[in-house]
Amino acid sequence: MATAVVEVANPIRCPRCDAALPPEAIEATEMALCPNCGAGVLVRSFPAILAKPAAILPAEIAAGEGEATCFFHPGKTATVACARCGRFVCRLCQMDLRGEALCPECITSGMAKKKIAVLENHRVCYDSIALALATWPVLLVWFLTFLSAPVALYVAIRYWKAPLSILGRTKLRFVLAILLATGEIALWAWLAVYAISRLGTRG
Amino acid sequence: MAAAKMKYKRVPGGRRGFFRRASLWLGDDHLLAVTGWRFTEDYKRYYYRDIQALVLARTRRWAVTLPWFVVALCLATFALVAQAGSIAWLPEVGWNLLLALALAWLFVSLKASVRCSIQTAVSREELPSILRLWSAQRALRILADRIAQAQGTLVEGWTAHVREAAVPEAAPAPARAPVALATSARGRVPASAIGLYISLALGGVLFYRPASRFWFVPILVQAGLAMWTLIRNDRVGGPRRTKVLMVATMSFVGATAAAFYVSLAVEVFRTMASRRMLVNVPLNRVLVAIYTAGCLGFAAAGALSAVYNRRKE
Repeated sequence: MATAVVEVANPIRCPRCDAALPPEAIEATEMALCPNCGAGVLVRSFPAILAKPAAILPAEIAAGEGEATCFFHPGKTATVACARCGRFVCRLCQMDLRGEALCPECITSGMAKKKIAVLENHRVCYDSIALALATWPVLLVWFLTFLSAPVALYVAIRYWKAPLSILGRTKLRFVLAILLATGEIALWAWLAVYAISRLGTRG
Repeated sequence: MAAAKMKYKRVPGGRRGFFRRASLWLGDDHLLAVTGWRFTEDYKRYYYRDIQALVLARTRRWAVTLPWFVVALCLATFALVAQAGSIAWLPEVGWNLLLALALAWLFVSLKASVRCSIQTAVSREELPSILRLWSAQRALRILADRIAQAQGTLVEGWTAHVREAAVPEAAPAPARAPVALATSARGRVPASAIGLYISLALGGVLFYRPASRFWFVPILVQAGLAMWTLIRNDRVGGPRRTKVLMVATMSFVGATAAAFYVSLAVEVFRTMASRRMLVNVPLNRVLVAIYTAGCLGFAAAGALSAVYNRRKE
């Protein structure tokens, strides 16, 4: 029986010493030893390892008469229309994103405006900041709550609509921060009123 | 697509440090690696269809994660508070639990830690959230299932086909020197084992002092050396008898230490001795005799096993 002959372009390496692993270690179902560093290694490989690098398509094909041309490269044949703005783009400009073809400009603006969730790679968790401001000083240096409670309240209200963690959190942290900060402010206000009234009684 | 919210499911593992943290999440079509500081998150997406391999390697990781730190802090606080109290043995319990925790951390860091890398056609990166062996194996199982759903699985023996293709072009294979080195390492008696056998031989002698504040030090040294030898033996694929011997040694010294503690506690309750007086309480003679005999027995068994291993090599 003829066997399919394939070649791996990207060898599997040991995470500890970066040496290429032998086939016995790659196919072992249990831990095997890395021949270079002696560490126990466990490999799970998948069919993508056998995929050959995609051939570079000839992007320099000049557009013939009557053919749609690329918006960004007028001399080249358009291969697809952008799924967002509808501009025709060539193979070079076409960017596939989760099954949709987008033009470079839509990708750039989508990243800048954070409108394409799958391209987002950084977020600030304002809800955690607000909650930390409302709780940490109580546990560590309680008298700092005089300053931190109003700041926590400000952060919670100012960033109420800001996107939370991509992992699908609720606004519970914001709510808790607001409740705690309000309580701390109320306590300080009561303390101030009490101190003033005591001073007034003495006077 | 813009605002489509994806539901993520957490992958076992995760690292929570004082400031840095890392976790892995399963999405519909991709694996999301989240790293970041306390108030920020950085995301990396690995699409299931692109993942070529996941590789685990056992290694040493000296990470002190938040749970370890919190437990250590609680035990230290408990011991310090107990120090001010009137119960003589309570602070010692706290300090010894702290010591046990430190040993457990050492064991986990040396024996049960891993590095995991994920490979795609364009990158090979470490997954910082995968730190310990038990969570790594569960995570690997879940990820392998999910990736197999997207890509299918490789046929058995696929590497043979790759080798067949590579033989005409590849340079003659080297004589697998590293493997030979590993084999010779198996037969060699490591310094930790020699240290253990010596400490076992001396351990009983040291115990014949009437009382000592630091009676547990030889026991800790022996347990530590046995653990070290066990780890080293496991890493080089050494003989099974060494493994059995090390496990038995650790069990023996651990059980003896527990017995000494119990006997001391009984003595304290019986005589109502204060902590200062406790230093002068002699160790139980019968236990000392058992410990000495056991130590000498294990030292002899270890020496014989070492000689046998070398001869066999």
